[in-house]
Amino acid sequence: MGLLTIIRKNRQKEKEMRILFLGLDNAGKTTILKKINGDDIKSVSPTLGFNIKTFAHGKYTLNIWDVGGQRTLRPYWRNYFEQTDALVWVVDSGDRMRMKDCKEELHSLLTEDRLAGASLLVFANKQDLQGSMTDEEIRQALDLDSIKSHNWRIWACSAVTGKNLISGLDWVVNDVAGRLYYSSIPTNDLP
Amino acid sequence: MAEATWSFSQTFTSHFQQAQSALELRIEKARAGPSPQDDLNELSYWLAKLSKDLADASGSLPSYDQKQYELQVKTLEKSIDDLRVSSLSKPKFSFKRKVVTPSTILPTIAKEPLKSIGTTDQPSSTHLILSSRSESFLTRSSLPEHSSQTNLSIFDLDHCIVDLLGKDSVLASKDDLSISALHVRNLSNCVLLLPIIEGSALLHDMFNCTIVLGCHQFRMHTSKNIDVLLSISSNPIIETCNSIRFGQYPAAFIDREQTPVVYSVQDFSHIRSTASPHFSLLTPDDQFDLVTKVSSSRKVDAVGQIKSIVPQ
Repeated sequence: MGLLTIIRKNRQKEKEMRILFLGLDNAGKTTILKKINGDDIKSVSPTLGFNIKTFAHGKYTLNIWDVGGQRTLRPYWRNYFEQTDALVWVVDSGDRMRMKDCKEELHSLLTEDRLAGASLLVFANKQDLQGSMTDEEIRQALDLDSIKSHNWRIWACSAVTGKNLISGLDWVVNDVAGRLYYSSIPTNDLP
Repeated sequence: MAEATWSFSQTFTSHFQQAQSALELRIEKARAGPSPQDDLNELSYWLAKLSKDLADASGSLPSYDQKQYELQVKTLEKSIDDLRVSSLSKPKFSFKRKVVTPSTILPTIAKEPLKSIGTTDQPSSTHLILSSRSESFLTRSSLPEHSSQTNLSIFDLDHCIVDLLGKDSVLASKDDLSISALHVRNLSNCVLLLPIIEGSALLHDMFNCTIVLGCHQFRMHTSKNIDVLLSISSNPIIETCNSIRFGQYPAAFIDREQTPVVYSVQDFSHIRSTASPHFSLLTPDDQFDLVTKVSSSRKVDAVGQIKSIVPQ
């Protein structure tokens, strides 16, 4: 291995980000990823275990970990915390009955040491459905304003139509980049 | 069967021990290395894989072995944790540049107005609810005024028949109903007849019910004694359920011709190679009987005989 290879490898590594997709079951985590990736979303089954997707987003390579949200799988979430740059919390905006569950799971995640400092993007998914809660309602229901430990945003989106998925991802990537590679992003990239 | 289990446990043992000692070696190496931090990610990945393999194999291994392997995985997990702690206590030296001013200021001013981008237009939202009834026959006309496409929540029903089918329903007054997501909770002794919906269905806390439903995703939690006649394009899942029987959506309830798609049920409370004891598939005879019973339930007088329709 020559010096050039080492430098290249190092550079490549530097531009990688690890993003963790979590949320209750039926939130649409896998569907969001499939949609971003341009895959068919009709045949998405509830995730048993986890999926990993790697793709280029701008100058960065995103390693996205999508872990199943069924209750039996939630204890395993902590196995995926290591080295997480950003947490994307996906919410089923039509699931009024479980907003309390959703809030509790999110807030208990945020106390995890290994997620300290990670950027937090809340995807208020399923906005295409009539009767879904708005992002403002979800912001209140999840008590997002009490979060001081993480840099966060809420984004209304729809995995089915693809609305706002990329712009949400842009925010989270820029936020991480601003923290990790502040020297390498031009200031006009910032929100 | 016993022989297959035996040979499986033999191969698994050798695989597991190999992987376990390899991982142990890597942890040792990482501990001695200059920057254990870099290796942690990979180590946790291998650990996750190892414990997943073990979880997959559970049920096919002698219980003593299973326990031993679990202990080994725990030990590995602990040594990786130790490594993590020790690597954190002495941070690597690196040159740090002061943060450029614009990026420090921007987040603070941007914070308030930008927190919710892409806000939906309507200030508050409404959705369709059917709840708190007993011994009733509920149809589309029992639903409150709603838009043609909607989320539907059904909860707290006892001894009810809910018939929201469009086809052949004499009692249907509103023809336009397209359900985009379904949430159901706390139903007992009920028959639920629903059309094929576009989105996903999430059902909780049901007892002694019969459900007829077509959907894109199906999840059922903490329920018991349920017959499900289902049309689905993905795999339905159950979690903490018992005595669930699955069959096909009755062809008579569908307007267009559709060949039944065979689906496979996944039980998240039984993630093993052996068959789950919590659900079964209806035999063709049982399916026929059930469809006959369900078809007869589409009238008001059927509410009195609901016990003979739903599983007991």
